[in-house]
Amino acid sequence: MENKFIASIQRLMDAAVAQQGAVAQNLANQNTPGYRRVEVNFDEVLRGITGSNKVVMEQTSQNHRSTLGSREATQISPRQSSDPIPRGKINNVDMDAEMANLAKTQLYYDVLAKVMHQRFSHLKESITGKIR
Amino acid sequence: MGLNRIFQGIDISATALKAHRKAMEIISENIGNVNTTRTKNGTPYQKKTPVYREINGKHFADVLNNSSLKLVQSRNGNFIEGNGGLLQPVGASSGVEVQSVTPAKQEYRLVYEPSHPDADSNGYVRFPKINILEEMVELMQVSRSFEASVTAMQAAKGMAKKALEI
Repeated sequence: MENKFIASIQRLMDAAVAQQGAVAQNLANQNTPGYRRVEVNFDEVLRGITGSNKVVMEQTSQNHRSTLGSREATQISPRQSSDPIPRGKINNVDMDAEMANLAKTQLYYDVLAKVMHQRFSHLKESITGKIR
Repeated sequence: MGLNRIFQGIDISATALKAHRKAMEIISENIGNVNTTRTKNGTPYQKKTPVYREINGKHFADVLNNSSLKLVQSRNGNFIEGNGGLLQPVGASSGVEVQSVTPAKQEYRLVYEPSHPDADSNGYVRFPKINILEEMVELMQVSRSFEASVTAMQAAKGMAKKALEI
């Protein structure tokens, strides 16, 4: 239970970092003709986390297919978005949207780091019996 | 893994800073040479245009796959080539680069100045056709893009620092 919570937060933090990389990539290529913006699909990441609640089957042979739970081990990488390039523009990077995304991702990461910190200090309190 | 990814974000922004600095150099060169009538090869200065290209990251796994050397999985715990383990690519692409391009068809500004050493037989001197205002606007655009990448880099730094507070 404890492990699952920390693992989930960790997974979301990884997703936020990947999203930050995607925004950096989009901002870097804002003048590149024909470039298509990349983004991280948070829905998919969340589905990966809830998917790992299902029964995990044991792999007795290396030819067995992995269960959903092991999806956690795969890396989150940004994907190209399918948004069309607007008429008269050289690519589909929207500067304002990217800056907003950057701020959102940063705050999101801060919140996750805070939650993680909180969880660890609670654990420490129950181990030592001292409340700071 | 998390910190590695944060550093990847910084690396991407770093390529953008480098690219925009190069674009700025190209524009400065254009502005500086607005009156240059003779270059090394005897022609008037030719206007250069910065062209941005996305860098497609080449990964260790790709390099391995393309080489004649192939890894053999002698043990269950060995990394799998290409589709798993640590050889997995970190991101599909990373960053941007700038190339300086001289357009094939050059236009010149003809100025009547018979006493000029570079004047032709009719007394006209060919100056490069560079619009200072256009160059200035482009310079401003580049400098804004530069700032955007600096912001992205700072965000990555802030996130890395936040992770240290856990």
